[in-house]
Amino acid sequence: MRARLRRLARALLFPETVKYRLLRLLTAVLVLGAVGSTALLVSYDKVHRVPAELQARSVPAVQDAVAFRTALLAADEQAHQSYVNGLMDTVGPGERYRQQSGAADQALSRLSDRQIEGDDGRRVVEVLNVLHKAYQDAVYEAAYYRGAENRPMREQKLREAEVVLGRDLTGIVPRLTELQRDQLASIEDETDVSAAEKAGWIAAESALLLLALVLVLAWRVLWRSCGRLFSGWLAVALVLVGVLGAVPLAATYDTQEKLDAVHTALVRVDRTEEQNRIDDGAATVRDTIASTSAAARALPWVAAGCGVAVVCAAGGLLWRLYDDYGRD
Amino acid sequence: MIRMSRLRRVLAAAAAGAVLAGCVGGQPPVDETADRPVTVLGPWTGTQEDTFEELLAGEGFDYVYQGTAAQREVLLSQVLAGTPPDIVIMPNTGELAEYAAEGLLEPLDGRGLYEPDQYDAPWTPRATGESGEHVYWVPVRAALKSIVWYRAANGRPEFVGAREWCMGMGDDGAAGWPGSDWIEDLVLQTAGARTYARWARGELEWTAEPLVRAWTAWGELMKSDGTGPARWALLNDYRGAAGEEGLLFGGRVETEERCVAEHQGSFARDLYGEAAGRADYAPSTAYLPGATVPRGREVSGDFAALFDDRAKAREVFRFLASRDGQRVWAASSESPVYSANSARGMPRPEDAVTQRIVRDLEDTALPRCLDASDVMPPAVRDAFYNAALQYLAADGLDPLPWLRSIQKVQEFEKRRPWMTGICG
Repeated sequence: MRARLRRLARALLFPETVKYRLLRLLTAVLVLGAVGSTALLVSYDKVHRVPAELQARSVPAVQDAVAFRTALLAADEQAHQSYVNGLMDTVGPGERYRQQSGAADQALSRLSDRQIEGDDGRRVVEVLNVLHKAYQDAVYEAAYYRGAENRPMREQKLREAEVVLGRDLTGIVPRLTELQRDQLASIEDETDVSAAEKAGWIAAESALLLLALVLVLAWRVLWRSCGRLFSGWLAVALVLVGVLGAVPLAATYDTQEKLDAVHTALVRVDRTEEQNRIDDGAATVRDTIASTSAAARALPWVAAGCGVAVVCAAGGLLWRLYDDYGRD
Repeated sequence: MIRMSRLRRVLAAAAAGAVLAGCVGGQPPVDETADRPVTVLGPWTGTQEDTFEELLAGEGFDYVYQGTAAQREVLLSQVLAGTPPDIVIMPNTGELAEYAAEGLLEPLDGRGLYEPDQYDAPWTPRATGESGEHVYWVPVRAALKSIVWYRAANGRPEFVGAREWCMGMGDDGAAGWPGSDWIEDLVLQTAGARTYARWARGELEWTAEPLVRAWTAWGELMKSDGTGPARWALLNDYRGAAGEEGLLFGGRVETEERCVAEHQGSFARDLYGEAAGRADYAPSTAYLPGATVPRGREVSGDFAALFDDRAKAREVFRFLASRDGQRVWAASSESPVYSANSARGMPRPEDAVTQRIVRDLEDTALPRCLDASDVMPPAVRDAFYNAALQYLAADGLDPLPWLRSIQKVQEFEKRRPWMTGICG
């Protein structure tokens, strides 16, 4: 009795006629097409948006921090040289000190504008600003105390500058090191593939695979039940689904590799004090990010491909339904 | 009929949907002022910062703490940007008095933010703000000064020569204050609390005899054995070298000689690190030239003031100033946290030295006076610090040229707010 009822319900709800099988396949095409396209476009966009964001904020922030450190240490070295060579009475901390110190000011000011660590970063940069000012004051005061009778005060001020610059935990350099470490950790998070992104890609690829399967099934139905061996619509749709399943994924893989390369280059830039290496690293970062732009620009084409694939698949089936059964 | 019924259902569903959408869209916007975390700017870094953050996190407060020794400048830049912290904690009440005078601080009295009975004089000095004289800050940590630290294993020194003093004038942007502490203690122990309070309130000229005497005594002490001691003091940081156990246990730069005693507040034990348990202290009177009997105790504190009156900030403030807050803090810190709250608990570790410090802080047999430079207007204080450095660096003993300079600054600052209730 129960089996009979089940059969009756199935016959009513899922009639095994060709028309209804085609209608069910059409529904599957529409649903999988929508899910696959959305997941694909969102996932593709998410990865390809990162290079532009890196270029706009994160990379300059890291480079500004590196520039600040380099200029600051160079300025300190110049002030030290001026003192040990007995030039401080004549030229103060020296012209090169002023130049490097000015560069450090500029870098810190830019870093304040575009640091990437949110409120925490803002607070660190604020303290760096204050300490940098204290450091500069101490160096200029050291230069102000001239002559042998003022030597103790000069030495006191230079020692004060040294402590403000480098003391563990509280000095400029340790705080900057911590900020740079946090910056790189942020960039690593930004460039890494997150679990959500992986899930998005799995959803997109699974939906496209199922869509291809549905299209093959639809083709089989048309062939076996309607005697039509070839459907141009379905063939185009099937090829497009294959291309959409493979090309954006390959492009994303490539972009991801480049993002990893950017991160590695930034780590290298962050850990060196040699200007040549900093320049090389910056060039690598710039070129690598630039090389991802073609893939980022391809998003509208991917969207168009998704649209065409779904339209062809659904159109092919609708055409057959209308042609064979629509006039009933 | 059936069609009507379906239509009604569709309409009802649409109406319900619209109402739901309206409810969601019409939610009142999140009040960001009330919602943002409480910002606290304080002087502690390193392990003290960790302890403080654990204290607030343990109570479930939504907060952001920013710790720096250069907090005067950070605070000023935040105030100028229109984004001051909700709560600031700093030792320099003279600095806070200026913010109070500008109407930027919230008065605390009569608002249930602290228990006045739990804070005796001189812990809540009054300052003049836009709406008259009020209490604007409460100490959330206290320190005992007028003491000298030595290595317990060596026993209490009978006499400390100039070369044996551990002294470092350096600090991040506020060099010179350890010298001002010496002079303040000398003024307190040789001239008494009344003179000291008049001086701290700006009512005594810097060239007055008690001050000249104190400066000269300090100069004679530091310059009595060649230029070495003064030079070492100028080149050392009060915290000692980074990673070392303070000046007393870690040694000094520029000399291989080990020092034996340090004139420093009770917070010095935080600088000694692992060696903290091996330090003991004695009242400073015996070591100060010209002082015979103790005439007062210099104390200092980290004072909390309220910039923003929102409920979340008040809640954190109330906790920090409360008996429970002070007790939890004292109990949770690995290094001793001293409180000015009369209902405080015993800080950890409960060793004899800690207990003596707590007793000395409580003791009212001698007048307790707040650190004079902390309560002076910032311009006078900075001139004081700078003069202490320059006097130490100079060859002669006559302090008058520097004292006249500070006096000029003081006269200029007469129109600025000065505090009352400095000794008690």
